[in-house]
Amino acid sequence: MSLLEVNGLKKVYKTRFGHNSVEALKDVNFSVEQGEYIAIMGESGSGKTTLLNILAALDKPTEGNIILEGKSFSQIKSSQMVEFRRDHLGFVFQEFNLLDTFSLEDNIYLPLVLAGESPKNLKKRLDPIAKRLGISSLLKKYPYEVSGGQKQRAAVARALITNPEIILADEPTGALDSKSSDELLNLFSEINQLGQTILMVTHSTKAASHASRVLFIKDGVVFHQIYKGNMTNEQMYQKISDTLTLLAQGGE
Amino acid sequence: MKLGFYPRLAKEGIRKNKQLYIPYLLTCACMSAVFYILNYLATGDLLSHTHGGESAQTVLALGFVVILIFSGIFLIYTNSFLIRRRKKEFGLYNILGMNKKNIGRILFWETIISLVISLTGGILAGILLSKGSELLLMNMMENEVGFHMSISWGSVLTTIVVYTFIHGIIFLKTMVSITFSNPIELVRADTFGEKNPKANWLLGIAGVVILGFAYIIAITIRDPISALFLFFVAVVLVIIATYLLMISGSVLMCKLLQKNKNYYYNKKHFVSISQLVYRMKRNGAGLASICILMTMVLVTISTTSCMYFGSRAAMEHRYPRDYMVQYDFQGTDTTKVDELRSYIMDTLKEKNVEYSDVVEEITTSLPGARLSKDYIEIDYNAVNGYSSLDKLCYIRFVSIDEYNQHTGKNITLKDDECLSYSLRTDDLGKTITMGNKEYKVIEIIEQEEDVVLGGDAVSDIVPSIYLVVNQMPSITNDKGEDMLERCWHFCLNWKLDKEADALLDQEMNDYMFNNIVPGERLFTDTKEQGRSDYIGLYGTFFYLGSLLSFVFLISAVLIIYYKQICEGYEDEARFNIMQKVGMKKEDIKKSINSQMLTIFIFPIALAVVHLVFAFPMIQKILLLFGILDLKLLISMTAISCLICTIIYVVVYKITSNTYYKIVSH
Repeated sequence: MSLLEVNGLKKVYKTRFGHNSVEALKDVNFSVEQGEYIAIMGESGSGKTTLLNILAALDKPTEGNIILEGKSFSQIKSSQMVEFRRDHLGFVFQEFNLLDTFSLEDNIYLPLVLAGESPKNLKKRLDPIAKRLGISSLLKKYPYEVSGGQKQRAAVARALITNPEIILADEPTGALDSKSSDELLNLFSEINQLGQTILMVTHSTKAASHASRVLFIKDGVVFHQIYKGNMTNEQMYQKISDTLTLLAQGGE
Repeated sequence: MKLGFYPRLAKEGIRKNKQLYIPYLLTCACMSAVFYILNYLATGDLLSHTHGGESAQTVLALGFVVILIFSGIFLIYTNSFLIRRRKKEFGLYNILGMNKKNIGRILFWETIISLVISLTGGILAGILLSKGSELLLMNMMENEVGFHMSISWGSVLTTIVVYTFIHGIIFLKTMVSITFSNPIELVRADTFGEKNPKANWLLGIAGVVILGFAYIIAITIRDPISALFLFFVAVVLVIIATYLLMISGSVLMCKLLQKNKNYYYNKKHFVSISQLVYRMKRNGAGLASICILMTMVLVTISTTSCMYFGSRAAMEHRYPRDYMVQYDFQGTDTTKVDELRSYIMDTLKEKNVEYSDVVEEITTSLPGARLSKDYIEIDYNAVNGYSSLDKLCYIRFVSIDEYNQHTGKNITLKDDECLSYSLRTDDLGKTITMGNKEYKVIEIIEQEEDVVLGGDAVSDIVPSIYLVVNQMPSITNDKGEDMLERCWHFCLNWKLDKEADALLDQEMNDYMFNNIVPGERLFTDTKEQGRSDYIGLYGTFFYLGSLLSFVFLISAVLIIYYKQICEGYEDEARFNIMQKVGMKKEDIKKSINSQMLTIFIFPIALAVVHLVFAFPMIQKILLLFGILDLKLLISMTAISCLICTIIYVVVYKITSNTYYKIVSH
C-alpha cells in the first residue's frame, strides 16, 4: 500500500454568484511511496498550489479523494482536521512563516506545544534535529536576527519535529539566494535519505532535480512524470529542462 | 453633491477605516455632548435662579474645565492610534507621487469631516440630553423644574470653538509627525515590531519607590486641610509610578513567566505570553492609561456618591432641629439670652406655630492646642505659633445642670470632675489638663446629641472637645483678660413649609438683629434652607461625578477597544500561520483568555489598590463636607469597585470577541 494516494482529484472554483466556474484541477491521480522525494512542477496557473492546498487539507476537493496511510481525508471530521494536519503533515513555506514574536527555538516548539507535548520533552526532541540542521547555536535568536537560509532551516526543523509522515514544501527555495538554496536542497536530500517522505511544489528546475521523481502538472492533470533512478543531479536537471521545453512548446 | 478630489480621498479614508473611526467619532461626540451639557448648566439661567444653584454652578464650571483638559489630552492620545494605522496609506500616497503638502490637504479634509460629524452629533445629543440632565440634576437637588426646552447658543458656540481648537492641535501634530518621516518609515510604521525589550529593573524599582512614597503620603495624612494639596501631589506621583510599574513590571512579569517552562510551554499561554513580550512597552503604556482612567472613575464615583447618599445624614448632623439660634456674647450676664428666648417663644405663640423639642445650652469655649492626648495648651499666642493646624481644637464647657435637664439624667459632679465628648478627634484619657486646671474624666459621653447641638461646632473643620463640668472655670491670660467665649445655643422643631419657614425666620431675624450690640454675634439657621444647600450642592457633586465617571469610562473603553483592534490587525497574519501549523480555533480562544488573566486584570486590580490607599485621604476630605459615615463610604467604594470591575470585564469580553473575529476569520 502506498503512503499517500491521490485519486481522481477535481477542484472547481465558482465565482460568488455561481455564474462562472474555473476548473483548477481536472483529474489528478498519483501515489507516493514511503521514503520518496517528489517534486511537482508546473507553470503558474497549472493548479499546483491548489493541489498542495488540498494535500495539506487546507482546502477541500470538489471530487476525488486523498488517502494517507489508509485513512481517507474525507472521513476526517472538520473539527479534527487541524489535529490531523498537525500530527501527520509537516509544512515548509516559501516565506518561511516564522513568527517574529518567538525565538527560533520557540517557533520550532510551536506545533509540539499546540499538540500539548510535555515541556520536559521539548528540548529532547529538538536537540538531534537542530544538530542535523546546523542551527543549534541560533536557537535563542529571533527571526529578524538571522538570514533567510537560517530561517528556512528553522522552518524545516519546525516541520520535522512532529515526526510527520510526509513533509509538504511550497517553493521552499523561492525566497532564498542560490547558496542558501543549495544548502537547503542538500538538507532535503539528507533527510530524505534518512527515510523522510517529502513532497515539494516548485518552479525551480534545480530544486526539482534533487527529487527522486518529478511530476508535471498542466491544465489540471498530471501530464508527465520522470523518475530519477540512477541519474546524477545534473542529468536529472537536463532531463527536466528538456521536458519543460517540450511542455512549453505545446507538448503534443 | 460632487466633492473635490481631496475631500473625496479623505472621505474614503474615513469610510475604509470605519472600524477605527466610528468609535473615535463617537467618543469625540460624547465628550462634546458632555461639555455642552456642563457648559449649559453652568452658565444657564435655570441654576442661577434656584436656591443653592450658585454653588452648584461653581462646581459644574470646575467640571467643564476638567472635561476640557481631559478631552484635549485624550483625543490627541487616541488620534495617534488612528494615525499609526493610517501611515501605511500615507506612505503609499507619498511613493505614488503626492508630496507632504497634498497629504496635508487630505488630512485637513479628514479633520474637517470628523469635526463636523462629531460636533453635529455631539451638540445635537447635548441639546437633547440637556433637558433630561437638567431634570435629573434638579431632582437630585430636590428642586422643581418646568419642562420647557431651551438651547443655549452661547454654549453651542463655546463647544464648537473648543473642539475646533482641539482638532486643530491634533491636525498640526499629525502633520509634524508625517513631515518628519520618510515614505519607507510610513509604509512600515504599522508593522514595526519592538525589539525584544530588556527588563528594566531600575525603572521598576523607581516605580515601586514612588508608589510607596505616594501611598505613605496618602495614608499618613492627619489633617484634612493640608490633605487637599497633598492629594494632588499623591495623584501626580501615583500616575508616574503607574506608568513606570506597568511598563517595566509587565516586562518583568512576562520574562519571569517565560522562564517558567511548564507555564510558558503550555498551549494556553505560549502564544499570548510571546505576544505580550513582543509589544511590551506599548502594552505597558496602554495598560497604565487604562489603570489611571479606572482609578479616576473609582475615586470620582465613590466619593461623590458617598457625598450624595450621605448628604441627608450630614444635614441632620449639622441641623439637629428645624430652627436654630446661635448667639455669641461677652461676659457672664445672661439677661439678653432670656430676652431673646422669650421673644422667640412669644412670637411663636402669637403666630400659632406648633413647636416641640426645645433644647438649649450655653457653651463656654476657648481655642486650644491639643499638644498630647491629655494636655491642652490654652495660651492663644502659643497656639497661633504652632505651624500645624491639626493640633488646634475647641474646648467647649457645658454646665452639668443644662446637661441633666437636656438628657433627663441626674448626675452630680465634683469640681474637678467632668464628662467629655470628642467631636472629630480622639477621645480623652483619664484626665485632661488645660493651663493650670485639671479634670478627672469620669465618663465619655456616648450619644453625640446629648451635648452637641449642631451649628458651628459641626460645620467647622476644627475639632471640638465638650466638657460637662460642675462649675464654669474662669480662664484668663497673662494680662488677666477673660479668655472664654460664651455662646447660647437654642433650637427647636417646628412644622412649617419652605416658604413659611423662610418668612418666619426672616421676620424674627429682623427684630433680633436690631437688639444685639456690636461685638456680639447672632445667627439663625433653618433646616429647610440648609437642605437646599446641602442636598443641592452634594447632588450637583454626584451629578458631575457621574458625568465625569461616564466620560472617563468611555475613554477607558475606547483605549481597550483600540488596543484590541490594533493588536488584532497586527496578529492576523501570525494567527494565520499558527493555524497552518496546527492551532485550532478553540486554542485561539484559550490563548485570548489567558492573555486576559495574565495581564488585563492588572489595570483594574492596580486601580482598586490605588483606591484602597486613597481611602484614608478621601475619608478626610469627605470630613470637610461633613460626611462622617465610614460605613457608607466603605459600601459606596465597594459597590463602585464591583460595578467597575463588571463593566471592565464585560467590555474586555466584547472587545476580545472583536479581536477573535479579526484573527480567526
